Amino acid sequence: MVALGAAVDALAGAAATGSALVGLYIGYQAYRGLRRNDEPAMRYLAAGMIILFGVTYLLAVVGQGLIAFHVVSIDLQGVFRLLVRLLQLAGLGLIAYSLHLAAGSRVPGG
Amino acid sequence: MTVASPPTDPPSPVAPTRWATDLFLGRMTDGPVADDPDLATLVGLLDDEHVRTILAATSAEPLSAATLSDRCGVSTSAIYRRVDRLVDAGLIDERTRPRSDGHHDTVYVATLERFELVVADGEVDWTIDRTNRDVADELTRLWGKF
Repeated sequence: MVALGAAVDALAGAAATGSALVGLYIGYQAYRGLRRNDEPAMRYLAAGMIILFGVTYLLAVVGQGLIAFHVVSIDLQGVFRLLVRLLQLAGLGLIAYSLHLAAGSRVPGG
Repeated sequence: MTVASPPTDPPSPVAPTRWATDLFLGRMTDGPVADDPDLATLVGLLDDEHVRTILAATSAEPLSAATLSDRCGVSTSAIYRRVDRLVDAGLIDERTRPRSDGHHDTVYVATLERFELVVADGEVDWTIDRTNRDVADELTRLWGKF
């Protein structure tokens, strides 16, 4: 069952990498939308997507690596998890703010 | 000499593949445009330095009439005359861009990508290729509509 477990771990890692890449792609398009259209809402959407998918993924990978190579104690795993959750919250907060900004700047009926 | 209208492509069975490719490459496809401008209108429009400047500038990014006025060095009313004709001919698109103060700007985006004239076999044939919309602009528009 070790082989199966390793395969599942590899697939989970690949799926995590995939969602990080797709999230960063949407964030990149939002950034282009900001540059092309001077739309402030897109700044927060881009920042939110990059934090939510890029920064959290990077932190999770770095944290796992540091723990796996015994650079930091396994006791810190909870701290990394907390940091990732806080960053997810911050990213989603930025996206929610962007949504309100986009809705607020719209001309009613225009 | 006959002037043929642009040939319409037969419905292609590979359309979904094309759509998927466009999505993958970050482009969005337009539906077929029903009426292309006639050749005289098209050539008449292109025989104008400022029209060509407007097309070139708005192919890079959406621009307002005021910005286009700066780029061309002519008055905004001269710009409006030209963009109205370009919009009517379907060579540029008109869009609104919301501003933080609650008003909105009208901006223009070039849709013309290629104009091809073919003289062969006793006929003058011509086609217009339009650009696909930019995915970043569509995202901006959609996000504002949410």
